Parts: sequence; C-alpha cells; structure tokens
Amino acid sequence: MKALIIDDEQNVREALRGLLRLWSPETEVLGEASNVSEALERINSLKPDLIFLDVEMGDGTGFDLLRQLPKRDFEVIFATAHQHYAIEAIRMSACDFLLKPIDPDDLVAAIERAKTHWHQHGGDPIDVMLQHASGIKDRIVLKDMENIYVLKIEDIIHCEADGRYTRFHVKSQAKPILVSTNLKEYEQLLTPSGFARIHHSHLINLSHVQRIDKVNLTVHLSENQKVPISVRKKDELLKRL
Amino acid sequence: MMTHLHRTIALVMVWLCAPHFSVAQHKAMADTAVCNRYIDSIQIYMDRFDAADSLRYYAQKVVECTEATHNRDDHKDALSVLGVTYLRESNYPKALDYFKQAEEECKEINDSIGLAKILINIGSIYMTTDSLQAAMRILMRSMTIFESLNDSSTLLYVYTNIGSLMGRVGNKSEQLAYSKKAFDMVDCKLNSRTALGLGCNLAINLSVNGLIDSSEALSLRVLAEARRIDYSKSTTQILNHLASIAITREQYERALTYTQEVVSYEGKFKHHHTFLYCYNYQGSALLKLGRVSEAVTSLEKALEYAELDKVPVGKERVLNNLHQAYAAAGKYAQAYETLKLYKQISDTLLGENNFKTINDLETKYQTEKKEQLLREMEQENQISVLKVKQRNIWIIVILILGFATALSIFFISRQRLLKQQQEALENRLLSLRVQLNPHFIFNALTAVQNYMLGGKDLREAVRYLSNFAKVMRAFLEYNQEETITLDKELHALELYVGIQKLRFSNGFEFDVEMDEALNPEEVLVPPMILQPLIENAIEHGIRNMDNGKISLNYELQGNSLVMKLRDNGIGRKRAAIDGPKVEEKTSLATRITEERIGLLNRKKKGTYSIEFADANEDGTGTVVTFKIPFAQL
Repeated sequence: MKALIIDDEQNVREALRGLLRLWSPETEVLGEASNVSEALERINSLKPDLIFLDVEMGDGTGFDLLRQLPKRDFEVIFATAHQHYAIEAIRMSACDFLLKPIDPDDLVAAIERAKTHWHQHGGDPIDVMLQHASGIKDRIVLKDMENIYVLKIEDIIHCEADGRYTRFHVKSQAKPILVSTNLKEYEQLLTPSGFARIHHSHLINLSHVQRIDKVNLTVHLSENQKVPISVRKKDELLKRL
Repeated sequence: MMTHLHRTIALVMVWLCAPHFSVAQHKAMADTAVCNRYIDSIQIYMDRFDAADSLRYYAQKVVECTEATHNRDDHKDALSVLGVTYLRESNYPKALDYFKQAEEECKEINDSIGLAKILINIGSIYMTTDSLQAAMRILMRSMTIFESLNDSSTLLYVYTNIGSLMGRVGNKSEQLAYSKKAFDMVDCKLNSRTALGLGCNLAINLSVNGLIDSSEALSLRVLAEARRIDYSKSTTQILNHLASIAITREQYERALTYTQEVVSYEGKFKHHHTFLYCYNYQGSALLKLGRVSEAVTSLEKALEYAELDKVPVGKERVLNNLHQAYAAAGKYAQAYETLKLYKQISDTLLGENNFKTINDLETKYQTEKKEQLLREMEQENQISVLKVKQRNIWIIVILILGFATALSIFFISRQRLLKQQQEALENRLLSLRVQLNPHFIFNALTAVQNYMLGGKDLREAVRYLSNFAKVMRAFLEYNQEETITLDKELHALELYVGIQKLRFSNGFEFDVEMDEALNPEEVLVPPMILQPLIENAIEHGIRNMDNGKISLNYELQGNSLVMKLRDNGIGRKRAAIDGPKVEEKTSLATRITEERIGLLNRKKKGTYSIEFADANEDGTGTVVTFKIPFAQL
C-alpha cells in the first residue's frame, strides 16, 4: 500500500517510518505532512491509498482535514497520543486507530484490515465518523469479513455476545451481523443511545422493548425477539424504563 | 366554737317552693292529653328527692309541649320545676336561668302568686351563692306579695328564708324570730315534710342563738319523725346538725356515728351540700380523735363535694380543717398550700360581705392565730425550699455540664467539618497540580521510540529517556509538596522545556532571570504552578515559529514574589482565531491555573494573583504575571 504520514511532530513521523520499515516493508511511504493544509496538498498530489492521521494538529484536527476531502478514496488509520472524546467518533465508524507510542502488532493488524476493505469502502464510514464528531450520533458502522454496514442505531434491536464476537440483530434483516469486536465495546458505545446491558451476553435497545416477563425473566422485543434478563439487572432495567 | 357553728348554719337552710300545676282543662287535643300525662308524672316525682333525672325529663317534656300548645300557665310551672331540679343538684347558674324564664312568664300573664313563689326560689339561690343583698331584696318583695294575699302556706317558706338570711348577716335574734314564726305556722307535731323542714331550720337557728340544748332536743324529734316517714332530705340534714352539736360538745365518737349514717345515703341522691358538711364534720371529729390519715381522707372527700357545690363558704370551712389535718399528718407542703388557699377564700368572703359586722374578737383572734400558723409553716416550708434549692444546685451543675458537653461536641464536629473542608481543598489543589498533559507524556515516549528505531544516535536516545524520567520524577515528587524551593522548581522546568525542545525540530529559547535579592535555594514557591502556562506558550504560542523565545523573570516586590512569563508567540487573539480547539486548550490551562490561585487564596487570604496581557502593542506575544506571597526557608 502507498501511505502518507500526517502528524505535527517530527519524532512521531520518523517513528512511524521506522516501524513500517521494520514490520510492514511492503507499505510504501509516499511522504509526510505536518499540518492540515500540507496534508490536503499532499493527498491531492500523491494520491495515497492509506493515510496515517494524527487527531490533533497545530492548525486543526484530523476531522477538519477529512471534511475538506469530499472524495476519499483511501483508507484511514488514526494515531493519537491518548484516549479522549474524538476516539468515540472513530470507534463508531469502525475505523482503526493506534495509540502512541505505536505497538508494531497493532500497526500490522490495522494495515491488514485496511487492505481487506480497500476495494469495498464507499466513504460512508467516514461520514458517520464526521457526523459523530459534530454531534449527530444516529448511525454506526459495523464491519465483518466481507461487508461494511452503515446502520441506523434505532434499527438495532439487540446485540448478543458470541465469545469475542458480537451478533447484531437488526430490524428487517433476517440474518444477524457478526462482528469481530466484543460486546463490551458496543455496550460503551451504545449505552448513551438508549441501550442497556441486561445480561452478561445481551445488550438491548430499550426503544424496542415490547414486554417484560417478570416471571420467566425475559424481555420481549420487536420482531418476536426474546432475550433473557439476569436477576441482578432486572431492577436496573425496570428503573430505566 | 360559736363562730364555727354560726358559719355552719348559715348555709343549711334553703327553702324551696314547689310549683303547683294548674292542669288547665284544654279541649280534647291529643298533645294536650300527652302533656297532662307528663304533668301527672311530674307531680309523682316532685317530692322524690332521689329521682331528679326523671323529674327533669318530664319537666323538659312539659316545657316543650306547653310551648306548642301555648299553655303559658303550665309552661312557667314546668320551667320552675326544671329550675328546682338543677337547684337540687347545686347547679345554681342553670337553676337561676330557668327561674328567671319562669319569672318573665309570670309577669306576662300577671300571675302574682306564681311570681312570689318563683321569687322565693330565686332568693334562695342568691342566699346559697352568697349574694345576700340581692336575696334580701327578692325575699322582701315575695313577703309583701304573700302577706297581702294572706297565703300562710307559702308565707312560712318566706319567713324561713328571711330568718336564715338574717343569720347570714349576723342578726341572730331576728333569725331565730323568723324561723320560730315559720315553725309556729305549721303544727308542732312534725307530721309533714314541710314541718320537718321547718323543724330542721328552727333547730339550727336555736343553736346559733346559743340554745344548744333546745336545739338538740328538737333535732332528735325531727330525726325520729324524718326516719319514720323515710324523708331522706330532713334525715341527713338533721343528722349533720346533730353531728355539729356533738362536735361542739366534744362528743366526737357520737359525731362520727351521725356522719356515718349520712354517708350511707351517699349515692342515693345528689346533694353535694349535704355530703360536703357530712364529710367535713366527720373529718373534723376524726382529727380531734387523732385519726389523722382518716381525717385527711374524709376532708379531701369534703373538698371534692365543695368543688362540686361551688359555694365558697363550704370550701372555706373544709380548707380550714384540711390544713390542720395535713399539718398533723406532717404533710407541711400540702398544709402550707391549703392554708394559703384558705386565707385567700376567707379574705375574699370577708371582702364580699363587707356589710357583715366584723367586730367579732374571736374571729380576729382566730385570724391572728392562723397568721402565726401560716408564718410557722412558711418557715418549715423555707427549710424544705432550701433543701429543694440544694437539689436545684445539683441539677443546675448537671445542666451546665451537659450544656458544656453539647457545646464542645458542637465545636469539635464543626472543627471536624472545617478540617474536612480544608482536606477537600487540599485534595482539589493536589488534583490540580497533577496536570502533566498526557499528550506531552505520550508524544515524548514516541520520541524515545523514534530514537530506538534508529532515527537518532544511541547516546542522545539514552539521554532523552533519562531526562524524560527526571521530568516525570520531579512532577511526581513535587506534586506531593505544598511548596518547593525555587531552585528545584527551575530545575524541573528546565528539564521539561528541554524535552519539549527536542520534540519540536525548530527549537526555541528559554531563559530565566532572577532578582539578585532572591536566593533560589531558599525562596519557596507552589510547585509547577507555571508549567501549564509554559506548555501553552510552547504548544500554541511559539511552536511553529523559527525564533521562538520564552523568558521567565523572578522579582521581589515588597512582600510579594512576582513571576513574569513572557513569550513572543502569536498572541492571545491569534490563538483564539486559530480555532476553537486551540482556544479550548489554552483556556483549560488558564482555568486550571486560575482555580489553583483561587484555592491558594482561600487558604492564605487573597495574597495570590494572576494577570494576562499582550506582550506587544500589535497583539503578539503574551505576558502572564503571577504574584505570590514571598516565603523563604
């Protein structure tokens, strides 16, 4: 892949070059940029198919850069110094992000995923991310081995843990979507949007609750979905409803 | 002793005048018939002293039905009967109320005989309640009416009552004359209830005039006859009188026998007056016999009846005996209280009846004796008061101790609260101090990573890592301190700035100037207070400049240490224009610093300050001026 490194610190840029040289030699570094305006110019001239993007730079954020690029025919891997609010938007769009100092294994895995999705992405996940960053939080991006799904959060009926994977039951979709991220991740992302973890392997969308069977400890959801409630979570659920 | 008897008798004799129903013949109306049946019932119960409730019930019925049938004659009689029922229960205000209603009726229908009879009853109430002048006026009016009518059957009641009234105002001979006049009007065979009543009256009046033997003889005759015809009213009344005579003659056991017999009538009819005197004589006799506790019991009962009877004279008599009984029983506090009460009532009675002649030496003597007794009791009482005082002192001491404890608990808890608030303040200060920017930490670590990956030479890499460790250590260590010496502070800041310089390739200058008066090894400053602002200056002020410069100046001004942080960066306005993100970060550092200054001020009373200004007129550069109290080791 042909990559562009965008970061406002020389040390970081150099470190990333070094990491790629050692662990992902097939990734070709086309160049570097140290701020948003430089980055815009380099992307247009160099046409990278992968960018490593710093979230916060001196003259703006990585999101500012992406907003100025209507046509985004490249993969994005974010790099950031620490976890903060911007990361939530990235997680919602199922984009990869790396924490500095970057772990080589994470870097390689992110590059592998970028390769997988290279021909499939349509720019929608980035839209979702930018909307989240500006406060519109009605959609989420899910990725499985073959597809990228952009879903309305309100259409998700419930999520079910399946080992380290999560199965999404979505309105009007017969087949659930299996995502290689654990339920804990989605609990964190979706609880502010009206979801509740009612069982160690179930996260439900409260707006889809039809009936609670207190005797059999079951929640009946839209489309005849039934989900068990754990005894400990019952009171909490009733309180939230 | 004479006074004793005189007072007794004054209240005994009150004659009642029973109304006679005319039983007017009405046309055969159903309600009239019913009414007449009620009137018949009244006539049955009228003479039965023990059936006051039934009598009242029927009288009430007659009042109601005669009002409906406008039979005013029977109506006023029924009202009068109601008055009598209340009079028999010593409910004088209610009795008076009904008699007055009856009086009004009589006046309206011009029934002078009826009026005279009611006047007798009203007069008797005034007598009982000690309104003697009013009683005399009423009785004289009544007497005039009856004498003009020559109605001897009624006149004897009037004479009896006037006689009794004469006795009350101290005219004993007139009293005797009137009662004799009345007694003579009936035959001396004592064969009617009226005759028995008049016999009682005369017997009492005889003894008032000192004719005790005659009085006793007559009394015994009355008693025998009253028992024979089972007339409880006269029986009890004359037994009471006999008891009083027995006491006068110091035959206390005999007095007890008489009173005991009266007690056996208790519950059979309600006449508080009778039992008041009965128990009073009983108590008085028991006291003389030295049976103190029984005496107290009897007299307390007498007092209960006196309260019910509501006639002050009776109460006065009982109290007079009761205080002596209490004193004999050693209950001095109660004796004292009772005596005080007695004096109070006695004085009121004397004051009220000021037309009574109070030249009785004996009374005076008695009064003096009472006063002496009162003084003695007061002394005894004072002793017990002293005891109480002593106890009170203990109570006060305990109260004071309790109060002091409560106060100290309050202060201790307040102290604790203040301490907690202080601790919260300290904690907040501490949390504000640990503000090393995570961006700084992780980016610095990335720089180390870069060195390791071979971007720079190994020697520099190792030095960079150990400098980074020094900065971290300085932050961790100094953040635990409230103040550190200036040389430590400067050393930490220089290490920090050194790391920052290496992060940014363009580099910048950092220099420190120090007032010569200041010895950095001794001057104390809050740790790392300038660090967030230096970071601001670097990352948002001079970062993208080629000739960036940050200078730090320490100066002693009076009692203050003034620190000036100056940069030649883009300036505050430009930083704001550069975007909300930059402004947000800048203001975060500023806010944290300002909050820290604020908290320090709360601890040390307004001696800290911070000011922001542009360094140059064109708005470039920033000067931050800190003022803190000068402190040295």
